[in-house]
Amino acid sequence: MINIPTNIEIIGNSLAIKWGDGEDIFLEANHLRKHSPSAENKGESDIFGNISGGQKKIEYEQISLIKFFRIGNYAIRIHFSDGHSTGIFSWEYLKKLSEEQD
Amino acid sequence: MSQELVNNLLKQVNYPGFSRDIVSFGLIQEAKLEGKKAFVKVEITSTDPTLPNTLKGEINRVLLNNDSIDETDVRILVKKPSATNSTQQANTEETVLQNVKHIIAIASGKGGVGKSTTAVNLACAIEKILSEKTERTANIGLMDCDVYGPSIPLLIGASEKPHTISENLIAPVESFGIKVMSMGLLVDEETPVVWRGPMVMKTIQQFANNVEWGDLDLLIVDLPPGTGDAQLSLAQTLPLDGVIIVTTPQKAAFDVARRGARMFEKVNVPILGVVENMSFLLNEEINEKSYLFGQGGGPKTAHALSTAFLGEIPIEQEIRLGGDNGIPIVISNPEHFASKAIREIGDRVLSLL
Repeated sequence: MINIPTNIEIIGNSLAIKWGDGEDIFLEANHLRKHSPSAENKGESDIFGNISGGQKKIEYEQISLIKFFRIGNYAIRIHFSDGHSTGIFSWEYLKKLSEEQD
Repeated sequence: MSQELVNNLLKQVNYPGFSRDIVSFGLIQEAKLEGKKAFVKVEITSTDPTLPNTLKGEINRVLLNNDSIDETDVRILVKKPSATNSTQQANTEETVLQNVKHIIAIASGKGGVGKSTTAVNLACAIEKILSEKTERTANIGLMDCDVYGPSIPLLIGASEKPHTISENLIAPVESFGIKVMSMGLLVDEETPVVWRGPMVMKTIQQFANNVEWGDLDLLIVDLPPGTGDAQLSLAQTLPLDGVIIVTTPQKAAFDVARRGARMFEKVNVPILGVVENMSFLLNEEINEKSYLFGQGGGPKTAHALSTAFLGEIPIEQEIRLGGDNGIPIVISNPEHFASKAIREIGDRVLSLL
């Protein structure tokens, strides 16, 4: 099983995650919003691989994190200050985002 | 210059519980030095009542350790998180089945491998094992998440309508000491459930939140075949302790079973093991086994998924009859070799929790 978080907090404008192995990561609100895995953000593909919908990657300078909900054993759903709340961020995806951010 | 000194000192203060300092988190509202007195304002949004004092103490310690500071004025402003904050949600989340010790799901890739029959018999077997072990009546729940083709009520002989306790709460129906909830108890047999996905999700959430399960030692959740709405909704709603994969021995079943199981890896639910159903037909007169669906599919699946092989259940007329009559074989004929096989699987499952 992968390493799962023992603590997740919104601190200032960051999401702080402490993993079971003691390591911690910090993700900025802008980075999370920009890479939200929601279909609203990324679009959806049909059987030909055509993507419909989605948004161009823009910067979200003034964005902040409002709250988050845990989803089962594997993810959290984050509510952002612009009303976006449909992205489900799995533990693996959050780790990947933190590597990209650095 | 003076602000820089204070700021640099504050960088030595980590946010409690994390390895990052309070300056990097952007929590400092003000940091300045007037003469030998440092003024610091920090804004936090935590609901932890001990946090402001912990932080204040740590900041004072670091500042006063420096020779150019003899006095401090440290203010911690606690900003209330928005009305519907995450801690409130965390509270309601904890009430989802909080009196249930363990939750396991029974899944497969392919349909018709005997998931529901296995779920019912395992529930009854585990109830007996636990009751004997603990010398009290064990509390086992059985949630049927196959909303389109619910078969649990038939298999366990439950037919009464669940009664409503309050506006948002219904009672499960008890049969052979097992608390059962199923779509089959809520609509009559002739009424098809013709729903789109979101309704399936809603139903599963309500089975978890609006059914009075009470204190349970174990909740077994029977899933429909596949990796669709029901499986995903369940993984998103309940903190599952694990999943048991049921397969039959032939390739057509275990190839799909692996795919069904991989879904649970994705949502971080441990695969407890694989049960092989319809393993062989025993001719008791000459004590010969016929392997109608081939051999080795279950162990192969377990190996491919790096998980335990929990055991095999034979093809047996009495198991089918038990289902048709609504009296599971482990209840009607506990000494039968198939019942013993199921009990052994129950023992292994319990040892994994």
